Amino acid sequence: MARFILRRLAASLVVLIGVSLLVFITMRLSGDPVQLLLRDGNPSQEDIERLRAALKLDRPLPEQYVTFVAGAVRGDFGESLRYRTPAMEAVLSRMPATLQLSLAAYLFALMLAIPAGIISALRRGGFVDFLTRLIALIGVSFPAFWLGLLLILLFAVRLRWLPVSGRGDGFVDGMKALILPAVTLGVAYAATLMRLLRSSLLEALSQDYVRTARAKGLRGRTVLLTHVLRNALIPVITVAGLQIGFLLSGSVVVEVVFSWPGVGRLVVDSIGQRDYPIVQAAVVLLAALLIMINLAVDLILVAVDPRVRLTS
Amino acid sequence: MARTPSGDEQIWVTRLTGAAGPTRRDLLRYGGGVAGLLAFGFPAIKVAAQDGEGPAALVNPEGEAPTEPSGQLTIALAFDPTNLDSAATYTVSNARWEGAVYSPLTFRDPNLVLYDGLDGRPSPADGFGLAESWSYTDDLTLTMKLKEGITFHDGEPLNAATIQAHFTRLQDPELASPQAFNYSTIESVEVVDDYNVIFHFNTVDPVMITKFAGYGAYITPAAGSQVEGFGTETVTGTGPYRVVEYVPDDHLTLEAWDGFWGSQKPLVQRLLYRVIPDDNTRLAELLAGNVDLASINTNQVAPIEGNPDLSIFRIGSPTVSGLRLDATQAPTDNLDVRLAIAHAIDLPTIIDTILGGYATPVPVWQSPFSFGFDDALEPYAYDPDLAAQHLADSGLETPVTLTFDILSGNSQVREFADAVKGFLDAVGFNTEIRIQESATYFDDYRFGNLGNICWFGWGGWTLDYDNTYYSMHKTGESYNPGFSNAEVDDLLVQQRTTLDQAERLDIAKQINAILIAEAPDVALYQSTTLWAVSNRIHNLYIPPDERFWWAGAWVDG
Repeated sequence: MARFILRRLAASLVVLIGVSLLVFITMRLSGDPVQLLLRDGNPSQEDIERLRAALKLDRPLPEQYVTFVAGAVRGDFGESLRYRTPAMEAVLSRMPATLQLSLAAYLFALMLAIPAGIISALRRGGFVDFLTRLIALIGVSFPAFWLGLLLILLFAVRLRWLPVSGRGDGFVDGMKALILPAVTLGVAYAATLMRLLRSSLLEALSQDYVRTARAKGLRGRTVLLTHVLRNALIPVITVAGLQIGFLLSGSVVVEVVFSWPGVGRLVVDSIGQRDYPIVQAAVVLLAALLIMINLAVDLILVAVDPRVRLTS
Repeated sequence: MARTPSGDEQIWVTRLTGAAGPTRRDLLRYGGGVAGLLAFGFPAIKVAAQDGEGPAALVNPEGEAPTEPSGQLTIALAFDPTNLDSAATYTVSNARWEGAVYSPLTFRDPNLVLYDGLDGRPSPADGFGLAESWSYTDDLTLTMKLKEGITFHDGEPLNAATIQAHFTRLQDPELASPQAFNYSTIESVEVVDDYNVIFHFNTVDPVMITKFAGYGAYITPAAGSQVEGFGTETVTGTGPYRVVEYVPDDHLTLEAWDGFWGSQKPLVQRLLYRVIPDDNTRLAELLAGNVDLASINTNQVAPIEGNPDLSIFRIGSPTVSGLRLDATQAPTDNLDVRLAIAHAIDLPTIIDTILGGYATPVPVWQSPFSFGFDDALEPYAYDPDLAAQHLADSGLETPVTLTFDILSGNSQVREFADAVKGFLDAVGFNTEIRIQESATYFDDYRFGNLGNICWFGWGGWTLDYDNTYYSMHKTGESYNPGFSNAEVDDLLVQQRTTLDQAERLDIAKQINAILIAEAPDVALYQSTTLWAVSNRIHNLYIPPDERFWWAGAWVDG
């Protein structure tokens, strides 16, 4: 186990170096931040060069990359060109909002998908199955920005039950503010998970060991919980784990629609403004998080399914 | 100031059919139908007209003002301030709050009147700038007397040393201020005594008094600005409001400062700026009554028109939009081709239909607010026969192929481009529209790598032709990818050598005439900014340049 984890961590370093190189190059190939910083003025070429030098963007690219990597190793990703604060500090300051939203969406999705998937599979071909599959299809098909705006229109503008956007002040308002973005983000995920769980359950229900268990006279609930569900959950756990990464990175649209001050919004704004340090810090951090999540998923699978063996 | 046509920075407008609201087809066509969904159920119309004598709109001046600050006013920002140090940032949208926290050296009011005491304008002493008076000893030396008894929010006194420290910091390479270039003509600031300073210029700067009215001249404290975290954790100014809290990407909270030195006091207890990047979410917040003031797009007019709690104000913007023509590449290197383009576009139709009437044609790249604008000039006449004649005179075989670059991410720009293409193709062009992302667009623009035509929008916060013409039309300047005319170059240099504004105006007229004849670009229209305003706001001026002056405004409840 320890050797496996160490090998995976070593491989992760290579991935992180690759990610850092990729983000460094792509950002520099796609526009000049100095132009954007000065876009509201009429700078001369000399003015532009002076600011570029002050921001150390006039140095050769290899030198800039070495500086970036040397800093990154110490956790120093430089200073944001716009915020004038350390880039990693800016990213980390938004992380609680993103994690809060992602976690809430994740819990919402699990609470919705697991019972719906089970009921749908057990009532295969019936009205309830049809209804849950229809809802799942709609959930997958609705773009998040559209669903978010519809929810805002109904629950915030018309009924005024919930706030339109923002994180709210205090615990109660904070929880109320979380509902609409979490539902918006979680719906598509819940739909995916529900469909996957349903098909996994159907496959498991048709297996010989289920027939054997029933023939032995076990109660339906026991068969479901101890035999069917345990086997059906294996692909679900794999996808559910990987979907955490999707939730972290896929919340950009939801963060914009709900004015949620998270990492996704920060990164998108920073890409638009070519705020290199922020983008580099955020991409490396998110890549590291995803690597850790994948590792955790592998370890959980081993615990759940003894047939899975750890190999490099 | 090349600015993207998104959010509330630049108002691009779409056509709305009928006064009672959009049709179903329009709803589906514009804004993904969301604005239309929000419009459902609000049939009445209420659009407030512009008030007052100047270009600013005066909101709801009726009612009895409170004697003490009270209530909260919530303002939507499309862009995060990113940093509250006035010397470290440079975005037009920051003007919405900077004037509340800081005081500028000189004062230009919401109607764009500079308080300089000249030509019947009010005296600096009557304004809210920090300078009491000033005079030029010679063209390179400006002596300025400061108002006395002013302190920053934390008690630090404002004096001559403050001004010296501010401009020294602004030019410090360590700060890497994006505004440094605006004040690079300042060679040094000499402290004479506590309240008198002398500015020594390295060259004549005829626009400096206006530049002192905002942005880089929102004065920061000498000692306070040296504190670690100034701009992010601590901020102090001399304006009527002090910063209570700033949460990046979320909100900025200001509170009335009882120590404000000006004759007009803050009457709203709290100004809450909420960062709401999405257009439709801002609209929803307005309709839900959570936001009192926000700029809106024209496809959002209908939902707000019927709301009894909101009014809409239309304000002319300093921004001019139009087409830049690359005179260095074929076929737009041919003057007849450029003139053919200029006369082929039916601007009145574009304004009436695509722009919904929310725009004003302009003959040159100056808004009517700009020093250098000449209202005796006429925009290029729409004359397809003349355009076709110019094209024939060009000696090129038709159809003449043109490339036309626009910015991505805005369907309204695309609609505008489609209309222009239609008009151009009708007289013998074959126009290819190309869409680019903003950062690469401006890079390519500056280095002359865009096509024959590119969309461009520029205001110019100093409201002086020097701001736009110099960098757009002088050879080799930052926003001039290829146009070169020796006479224009000489005139642009010449206008920077004198403080005589009459002489400068005469030079502007000469430049205007050359540019119209040479057609390096086709300035089309002055944009209109639309503001949705809660009816609970009183006595607030909405300025064309977004530099709000909050003292004197008040709210119900």
